Amino acid sequence: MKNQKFLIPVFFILFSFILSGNLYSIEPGDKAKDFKVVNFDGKTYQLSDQKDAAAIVIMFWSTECPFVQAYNDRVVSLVNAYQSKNVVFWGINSNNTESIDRIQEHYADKKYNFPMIKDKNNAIADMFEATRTPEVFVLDKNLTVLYHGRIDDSRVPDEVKSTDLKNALDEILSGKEVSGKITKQFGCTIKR
Amino acid sequence: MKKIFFILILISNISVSQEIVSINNVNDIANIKNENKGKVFAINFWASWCKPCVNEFPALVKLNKNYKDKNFNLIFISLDFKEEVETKLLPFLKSNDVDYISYYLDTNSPEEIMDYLDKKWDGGIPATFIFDKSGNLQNFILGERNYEFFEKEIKKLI
Repeated sequence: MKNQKFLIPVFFILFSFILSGNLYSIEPGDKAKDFKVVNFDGKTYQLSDQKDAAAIVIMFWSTECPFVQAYNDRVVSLVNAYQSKNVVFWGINSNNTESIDRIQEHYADKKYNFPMIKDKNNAIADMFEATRTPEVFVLDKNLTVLYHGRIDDSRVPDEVKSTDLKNALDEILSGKEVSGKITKQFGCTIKR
Repeated sequence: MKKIFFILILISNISVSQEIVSINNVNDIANIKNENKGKVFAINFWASWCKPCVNEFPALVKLNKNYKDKNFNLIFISLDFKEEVETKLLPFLKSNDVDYISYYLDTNSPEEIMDYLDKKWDGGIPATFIFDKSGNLQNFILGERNYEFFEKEIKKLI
């Protein structure tokens, strides 16, 4: 589904996004548009720089949403297990209701082991047409979407039956096609 | 559907009953749709922990109050967690004067429910589905709206 919207490059004093091209609905098989962010942590994040990544995991995140908070520990474990396999994890906070101070405080409190990028003006969420948190996209190094959906199928760790994101990463690392490319999960709408 | 809560709340000598029913699968949603055929009805998915849901909740309560005698029904389905039904959901409903049947989701098949209502829905809340008198979906609304918006939408169908 192509959605012909156009992004105007936007610049901020402390944070800048350099985005280009059309916005479109991203689903497995589509190619994500590149983005570059100068983040509040002083680092620059650009998708196309991840040329050595076995996979890039983009996780739309929140400091407040209970569905996200349920995954704090699980995501830290997942990152621990897969970072050494050259999988890159980026959290994206697109909620206009969540300040950088709050994101930093939450980040330290949860001891995240992956960067959290503040998505000013929802530019990245709009590019991906992401609607909720948590919502995950997995890309290959050419920015082709390989997986879109949830981390797993239950907010309650003991009730998880399908570890969808882990399964997708295992298949990607084994050179296989992802068998479950799209999954869904309840969550909080991204505040635009 | 399993009825798990039925409580009586005494307010100034007036008995107000609050019935909370769990939604377990697509059949439960289909039953709600069948029960409401002949009316314009809206199903709102929300949670007491969801700020935009809480923001729009009074507008929906008001909508139901103003239009319940005009062949309209509003159905609230909460995504509050099962362990918080008594401590958070019920007090919230009470504080918003919801004294009619209300629902909460307790399901192992969330994707089936999302796809059944609208394949475009990928699980974000608040989500409101407005149906015409024949039970056909006329509008899927993702995100917070105000009273005027909802009223305009249902007036088209009543």
